[in-house]
Amino acid sequence: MKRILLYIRLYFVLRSKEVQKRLGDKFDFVIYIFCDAVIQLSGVVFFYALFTNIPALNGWSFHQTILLYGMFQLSYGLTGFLFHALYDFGWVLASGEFDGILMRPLGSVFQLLCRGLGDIGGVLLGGVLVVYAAVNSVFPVTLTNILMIGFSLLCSITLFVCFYVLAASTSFWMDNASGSLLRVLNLCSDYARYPLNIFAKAIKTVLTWVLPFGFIGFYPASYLLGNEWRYYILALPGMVVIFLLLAVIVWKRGVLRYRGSGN
Amino acid sequence: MTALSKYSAYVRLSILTGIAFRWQVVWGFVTGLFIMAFHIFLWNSVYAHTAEVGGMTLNQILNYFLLVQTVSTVTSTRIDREISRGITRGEILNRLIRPSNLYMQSIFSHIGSVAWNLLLSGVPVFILSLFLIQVAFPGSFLLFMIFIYSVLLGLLISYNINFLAGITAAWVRGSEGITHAKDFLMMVCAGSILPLSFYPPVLQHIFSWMPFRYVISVPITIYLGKTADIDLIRILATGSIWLLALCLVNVFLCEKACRRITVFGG
Repeated sequence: MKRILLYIRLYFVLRSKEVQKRLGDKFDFVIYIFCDAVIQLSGVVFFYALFTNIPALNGWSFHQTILLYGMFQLSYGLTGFLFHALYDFGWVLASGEFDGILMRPLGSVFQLLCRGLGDIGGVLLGGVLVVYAAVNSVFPVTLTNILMIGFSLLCSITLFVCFYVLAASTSFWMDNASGSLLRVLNLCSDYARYPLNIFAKAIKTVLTWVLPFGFIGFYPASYLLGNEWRYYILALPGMVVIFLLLAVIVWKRGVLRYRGSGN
Repeated sequence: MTALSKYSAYVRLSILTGIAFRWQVVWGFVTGLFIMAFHIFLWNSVYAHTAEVGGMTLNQILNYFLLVQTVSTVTSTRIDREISRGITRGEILNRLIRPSNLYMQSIFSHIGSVAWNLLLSGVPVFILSLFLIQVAFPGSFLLFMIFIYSVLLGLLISYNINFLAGITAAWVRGSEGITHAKDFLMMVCAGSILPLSFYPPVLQHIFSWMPFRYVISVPITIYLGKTADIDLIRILATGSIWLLALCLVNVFLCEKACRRITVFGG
């Protein structure tokens, strides 16, 4: 228990140091956040322009699609913000920095999670979109729904982290494989920003049960909207547990294989 | 003649780099197929109840996005990041000490990587798409040649816009922000996320005054035969003027930046 508290305290200390570091150049930091949000805005522009031409996309209206997109973007942004370093793990291995990490008396995944800082813009944009959907009364703003949003965000972030840990741990076996896997993950997450029912059944099944990206935006949004896919949300905790176990096991096996980078 | 052989070395060098990182290109190809499949699903849903959206039929829009893929393998570049990173980290020094101009060096290495990308990612995606959708071909050989010209124009305009975004790093600390803002404009105003005819008329009018549409939208509308003959000459002429203007600005700024840059220990 004491150890967990230590980890939590350390996490916040290291995070705030990271923010302080970035605030060294305030103008640069503000520009960075702003433009990060702007680049992700292109998805919204896409939906906006598309829905000025059509009334609905397979039963999904503009506001409903924005809710889905916002939920996905918020989880994605929060993951990037909290756990940025998992993204370039291939590089951490190649450069030999991992040796330094293994030397310290703390968990290796934990130390990786504390490095870097990214995607505040995504968090802002995602938050704004979900609030926008709520203001436009796409879903009833009840206490249950708000708690549900919080819960599904927590689960989504955990799923994202598991995906990244799994992709990153392939670097232990194969040089540079994590880069390729990250690309596959990115492609899947490009698909998952849209209502899954526009895709073929096979893709929908894969994105639900194999690479469960559907649980990050589509199913939580469906629950909030109360449409025909709302009950899938019940499988979310199970998925999280399965992927957590998988990620921990694969990572531990990988670290055992690690032999340093040779300097 | 010596100048030509000097710069052809950069083309060769970038092709060799391409060969060294060949998996990148393979991934570009796989990504291209995924994106094509995505568009087929998405637009089939969109067109489920209508025959025409934004003045385009289902087949036209699928062809549009196939061409976005093909054209953007030629016109997309990472020169902005290379230059801004080079300036902020000081690596640019290695390029400045070479006996040739920074602007020209970059353009010739860009041409090498374009050839490589087109051959290994653009063309295969196009060929495989022949089995997925009903691919359209330009109406005449002349139109095809005009299309090729417009793609080359797009390549050079895109290169210059990116160079401009990159070179600002010599003056602005937050150049990463500028790069992102430029990426956003490129995606929206060039027509790579949606055909420009999908946007409200006001935006369409604004976009037509920007140089971005020459990178994606103009070549594709020419290819699909959606540009009237009279407009063709006007559009290509305006594009050439844009290119000339951007070129002049860049050569000037490149000169200025090279004087301004101070690298640690240099």
